[in-house]
Amino acid sequence: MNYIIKTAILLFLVMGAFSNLPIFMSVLKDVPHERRRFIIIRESIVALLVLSTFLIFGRSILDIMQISQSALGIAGGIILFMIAIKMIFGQRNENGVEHKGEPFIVPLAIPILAGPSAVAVIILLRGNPHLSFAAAGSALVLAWVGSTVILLSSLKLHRFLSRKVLSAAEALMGLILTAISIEMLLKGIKTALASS
Amino acid sequence: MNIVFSTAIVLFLVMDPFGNLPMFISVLKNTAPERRAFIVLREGVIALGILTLFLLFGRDILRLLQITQGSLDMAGGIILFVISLQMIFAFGNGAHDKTQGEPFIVPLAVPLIAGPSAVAVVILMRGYQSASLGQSFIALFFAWFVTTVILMSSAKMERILGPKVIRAGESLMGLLLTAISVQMLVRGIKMSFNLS
Repeated sequence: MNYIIKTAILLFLVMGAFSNLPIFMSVLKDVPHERRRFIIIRESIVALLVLSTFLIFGRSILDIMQISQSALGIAGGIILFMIAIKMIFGQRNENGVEHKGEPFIVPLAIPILAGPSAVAVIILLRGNPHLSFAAAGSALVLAWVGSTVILLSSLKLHRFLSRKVLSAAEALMGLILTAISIEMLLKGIKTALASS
Repeated sequence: MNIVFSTAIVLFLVMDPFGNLPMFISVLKNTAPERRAFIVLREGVIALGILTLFLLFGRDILRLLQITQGSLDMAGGIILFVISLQMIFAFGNGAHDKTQGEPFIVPLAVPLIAGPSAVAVVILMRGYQSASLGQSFIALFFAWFVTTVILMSSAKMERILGPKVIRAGESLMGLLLTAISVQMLVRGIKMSFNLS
């Protein structure tokens, strides 16, 4: 149970609901108001499907490529760390913001919701012996529900959540994420050097 | 069979056809459309020839220069890691060559298809995976074939998929590549210090 909550929090941080709010807002700017809710739900479901695919097949991908858990942990830790640094210092890459018309899958579902870091975390989860498949799945669903609710409520709350509040929340989440990523990195290095 | 498959995937990721698509398109912009397929095929064959040379003589080169497997593993791992970070975060390699006229060997065959990382992987795969020469060559050929097909249809690919999907595909491939590169690095460190 404990593991599920811990994992769900990590996934939630990685999906970066707060940091994605401004991007969602700007992409959905040209879309009529009543369609926004529908688009957010559709994109979230696509992202969930993509992440579930990696949850199911992640291990076989690793097996085929002969990547060990520890190597993935080290690599994932470094990538997460870089993403966290970006979140803290606020170099938001404005990639894909100049989207015309209605967005579909790219850029909202991929790579904003189901980005490289979320995929890395998901694949890593399958290697954790304490976490069964069902537990990992429920953690994913929990985190997904959390970020989808935040994205949906942004339609209403956006007036109250100013840019400053959002970037403060983002920096805070980034701070937690740096610690988690270092944790991943250290664990990866330890197991890489210990196991033979 | 498994060795062939996993090596082919690693080589395919290293050749990075999706990442190279934009480069190919921009380099070939000034050539006549009916010659483009021919040029891509020619450059592909040249790259295959170069990689095959390294496959055949890589070990002797290493022995001649007294480079151990361990250090090549480490060096290759570091290069791959930097390349994969570029793929994920799209630092934008400003190496947009302003070649006039028809490209020949540089920059398409070398270093885009047969770059330093591909050469390192080709040399290394003879060593650590106990793959026979035949198996290695089959893997190389597979990876090369898929890469060349993707590159030959570059114009069509970009029209169908759009630059954003290509970008997303590239960063996902980069993600797998980071794990592979760390795996190489760890193996090199272990081999050099006799940790395993």
